Amino acid sequence: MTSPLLKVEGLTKEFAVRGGPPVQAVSGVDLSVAPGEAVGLVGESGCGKTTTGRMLVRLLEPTAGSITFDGRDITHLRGRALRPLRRDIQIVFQDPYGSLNPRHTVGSIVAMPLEVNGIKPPGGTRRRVQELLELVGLNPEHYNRYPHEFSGGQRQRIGIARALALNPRLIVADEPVSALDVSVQAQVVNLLRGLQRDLGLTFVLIAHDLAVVRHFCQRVAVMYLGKVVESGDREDIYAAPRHPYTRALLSAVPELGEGGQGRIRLTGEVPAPTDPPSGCRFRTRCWKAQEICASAEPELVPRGGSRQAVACHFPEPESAHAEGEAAHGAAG
Amino acid sequence: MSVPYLRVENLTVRLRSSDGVVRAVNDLSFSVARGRTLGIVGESGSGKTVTGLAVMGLHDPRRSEIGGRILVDGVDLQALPEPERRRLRGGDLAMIFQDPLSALHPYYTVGRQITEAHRVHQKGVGRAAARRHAIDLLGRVGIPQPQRRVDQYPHEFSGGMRQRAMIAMALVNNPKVLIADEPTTALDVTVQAQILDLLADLQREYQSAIIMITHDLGVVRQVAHDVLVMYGGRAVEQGSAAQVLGDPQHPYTWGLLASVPTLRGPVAGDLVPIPGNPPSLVHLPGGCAFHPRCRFADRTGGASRERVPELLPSGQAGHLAACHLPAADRRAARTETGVSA
Amino acid sequence: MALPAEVDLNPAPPPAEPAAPVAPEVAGRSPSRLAWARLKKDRVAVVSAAVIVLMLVIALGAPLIEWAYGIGPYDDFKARLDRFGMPLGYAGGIDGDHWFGVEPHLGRDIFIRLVYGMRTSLLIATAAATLTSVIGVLVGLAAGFLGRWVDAILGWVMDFALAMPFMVFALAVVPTVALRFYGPRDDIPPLFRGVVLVGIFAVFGWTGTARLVRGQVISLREREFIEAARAAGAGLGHMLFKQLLPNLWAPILISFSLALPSYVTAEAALSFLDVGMVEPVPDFGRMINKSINYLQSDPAYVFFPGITIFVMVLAFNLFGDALRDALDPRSSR
Ligand SMILES: Nc1ncnc2c1ncn2[C@@H]1O[C@H](COP(=O)(O)OP(=O)(O)O)[C@@H](O)[C@H]1O
Ligand SMILES: Nc1ncnc2c1ncn2[C@@H]1O[C@H](COP(=O)(O)OP(=O)(O)O)[C@@H](O)[C@H]1O
Ligand code: SF4
Ligand code: SF4
Ligand SMILES: [Mg+2]
Ligand SMILES: [Mg+2]
Repeated sequence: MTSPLLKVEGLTKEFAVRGGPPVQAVSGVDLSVAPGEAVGLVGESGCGKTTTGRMLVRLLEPTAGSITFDGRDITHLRGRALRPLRRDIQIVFQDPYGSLNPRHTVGSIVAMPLEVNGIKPPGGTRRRVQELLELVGLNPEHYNRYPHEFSGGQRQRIGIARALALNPRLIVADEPVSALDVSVQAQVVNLLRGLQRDLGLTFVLIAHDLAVVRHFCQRVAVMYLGKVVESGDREDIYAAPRHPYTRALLSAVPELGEGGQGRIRLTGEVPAPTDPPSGCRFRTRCWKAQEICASAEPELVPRGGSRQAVACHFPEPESAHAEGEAAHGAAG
Repeated sequence: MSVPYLRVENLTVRLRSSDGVVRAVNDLSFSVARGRTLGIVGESGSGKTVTGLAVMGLHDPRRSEIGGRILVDGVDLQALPEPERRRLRGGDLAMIFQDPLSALHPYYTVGRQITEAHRVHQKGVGRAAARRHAIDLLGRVGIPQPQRRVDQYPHEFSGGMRQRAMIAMALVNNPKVLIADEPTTALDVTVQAQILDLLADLQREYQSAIIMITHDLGVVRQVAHDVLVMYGGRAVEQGSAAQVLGDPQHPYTWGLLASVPTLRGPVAGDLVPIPGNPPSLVHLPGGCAFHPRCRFADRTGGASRERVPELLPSGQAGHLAACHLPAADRRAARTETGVSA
Repeated sequence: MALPAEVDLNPAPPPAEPAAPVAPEVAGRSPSRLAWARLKKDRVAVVSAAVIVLMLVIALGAPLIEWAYGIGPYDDFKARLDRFGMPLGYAGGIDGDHWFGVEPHLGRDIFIRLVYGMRTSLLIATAAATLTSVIGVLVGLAAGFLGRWVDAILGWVMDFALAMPFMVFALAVVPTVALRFYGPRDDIPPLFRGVVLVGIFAVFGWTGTARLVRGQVISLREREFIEAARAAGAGLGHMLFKQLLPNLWAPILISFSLALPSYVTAEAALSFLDVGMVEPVPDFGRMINKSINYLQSDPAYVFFPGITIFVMVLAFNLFGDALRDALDPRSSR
């Protein structure tokens, strides 16, 4: 196996809240991303995906844990030392309206990373920007237009072009298509797939849409309440989810096609991240919970010889999906 | 088949905006029987919300022009004086919005908003009785500890809870017609599943006619009996869910179906997007509004660019589609898009 | 009250967005260009702008007008007064030579003094509005973007400035400052007076702009385009002046255009109260101060400076409102 481009261990972020316990947004996330790979980070809103993503691109300072990029510890780089890293790791945002400065032309938006890093591309900035626009499927002649003159999907392309300007090696994309219509979403997913294939880019894709992740990522990590509960290869996760939460999440997606796994309905709400449950954080909604789930926290480790890591004391058997209705039931 | 309770005939909605007249809905007809659900699908900006608001009578009369007939139980709403319409609204006719904050008042407790909606429409209901009913409803829509929650403000509720509170408010008078405008789009799938189940339960109990507006074909497949596909403010395909999703007849529907990423099946190839963007309803393309994005536009001998296709029977009985593509060529064309019957 | 009578669920339909890319022209229509187009369509804006431009031309071209008119602001025409010192003729001595008549007792020409008074007034108001805007923007940017202790300290200073009573302060400080530099009998140069006035306005006037800018910056700070710049390695200067400032022009221009008329009136008020400009410099406040004594005997003397200042302030205010509507169309209607 090649050595990972990005390795995250025990990554933790707590937000201090005035007059209350801290928000435990991310609690000990482990992640490893090989070069050229796309890893999906999925989970319901509030589970800490965005916070994790912002820590990876060093927009947020981790409370604990380490981030290693290309063999170098970058967890606490600051100021000048951070500069070269900024070129290697870039981010694409969710909001096609908020992520582009409404007062800047498309040209200056895409050129911004070059400008702030004092980079003069051979052939000139304008040439380079127009190349980038072409790369993401936009008309390079629209260089002088403003964001409000573009549709949501086109704006997302502009954001992607900006992220590509510095020739990064890793792109963290935070819900890049969730604000788009399906028809347009497919355009952008295809664009990202093309970039991964043609430029050998490495991606961390953050999304709550499991189907989108399935179409883009080779590996998947499922988060619940600040923790990764299951991770593994796409084929395994979707065909044979072993964590009860992953199963519930997959079965909740309304599907176009026939069949599917037995329907599992989670009841109740995700507990507050200020006061997560002891032991397994999913136990308040888990239909398999036992006493040990409240007292001991399950580790995220491969179980039963597979590559799929599960943080559960009672994981589903490897061929759980075959049984269908077996685990049908409400939370205890 | 049951008699339609809500009938919309040739609905047209024009809205005035700073860019010009928005031709938001054009010649739209549909009907929903009690106990049935009609799914309206289409990309954003296709006129779905405007349709829902028109049925509710919520468009500002100074800035809109509404044509056609909206019949509820045989009564034409357009002909009703405004006070009577208002009585229907929130009573027999209720709407759930995508953004609960736009419908919930921030300065009143959730309970108060529900009880007022109740007492406005049902004279003689006492304060205490209304409150009991509100608590009961909040419990029914799955809000834990309803006795405590009833006295909280909307901002104290999570997103999923707010959506439930709004549903409770919409249901307080047992509406016979419920319009749900993307009620779960902003929610997580697990919460969405709960809400869809809840709506199904309530429909079974009260026999409401539901219009489910959504852009998620998966949701449509799960809840709708009938489906209306909108594009550019028009119906392009209409029929039972089995017909529209199982034997789609319109190239736009094919495009929608092909572009949806799935949890099963091959992932080796790219998704098949619909090229371009949805049109502006101020400057609609002439002819078939879909023609700039349609890969089959050239196979209609120029008709796609010249004439708006009529909504005609196509496929099985009761199935309508608006496309110039000759019926004989449809199946072959659909196979090209990768959409199977 | 189950539902609001009308709901606008699309409060901001992105203006015809899918149509835009089809539009033939390739040059971008910037937000400011759009605002300009809206402004040009607004009749009130056009008329008030014309009045403002006219007054600016008059103020700037005062010496030229003096030359063409043939009378200076300090020339006196005692011969045009009767033995009580009142102007001869009707309506304060209006005739072909003295369009607005002459001052009682001093016999100076009112028209040319108004022309020069406008110059004084606009000069001081513009200087004060510019200075307060610059201070306000800098403070607002720093407080809003840096937050934490910077915001706390600046907020405290702002509250302090707001808590001081403006008039009392002005009445107390102007004579004190003047005494500090000049003897009680010295002639205080008008320039010094003007600088002190602008200084006082600056001390008090920046808080409004600063608050406005701070609020805007706080809401912009969370926007993802700021994060994008940070993720690309942008420094503080780039963030403040390249990313944030271009988004602040609208509030800055609006507050500037509404500050101008308030400084015109404030300057006139202070001069009226003898703590602003002093004789013989032509000034609206001074003119009104003196003319008040002749309210009965020579109403024309009050009328001309009064109506001029009224029209001026009205034009500025109307234009400021129109500007706001044009820059931020959602706030109107
Ligand atoms: N700046 C912040 N201050 C306090 N809490 C925060 C902050 N940012 C995020 N959170 C909280 O951290 C948790 C994780 O949030 P986030 O990472 O945005 O989740 P996701 O992206 O998965 O929806 C949420 O409970 C959220 O409310
Ligand atoms: N109040 C309004 N005034 C003017 N135009 C509007 C108004 N509401 C919606 N529109 C326009 O009507 C079109 C259809 O909108 P809508 O029904 O909300 O679409 P959908 O719900 O299918 O996404 C859009 O182009 C939208 O911009
Ligand atoms: S550890 Fe226990 S509570 Fe947690 S997911 Fe597994 S069975 Fe459920
Ligand atoms: S009418 Fe023509 S353009 Fe429209 S959907 Fe049919 S084939 Fe396509
Ligand atoms: Mg997020
Ligand atoms: Mg809508």
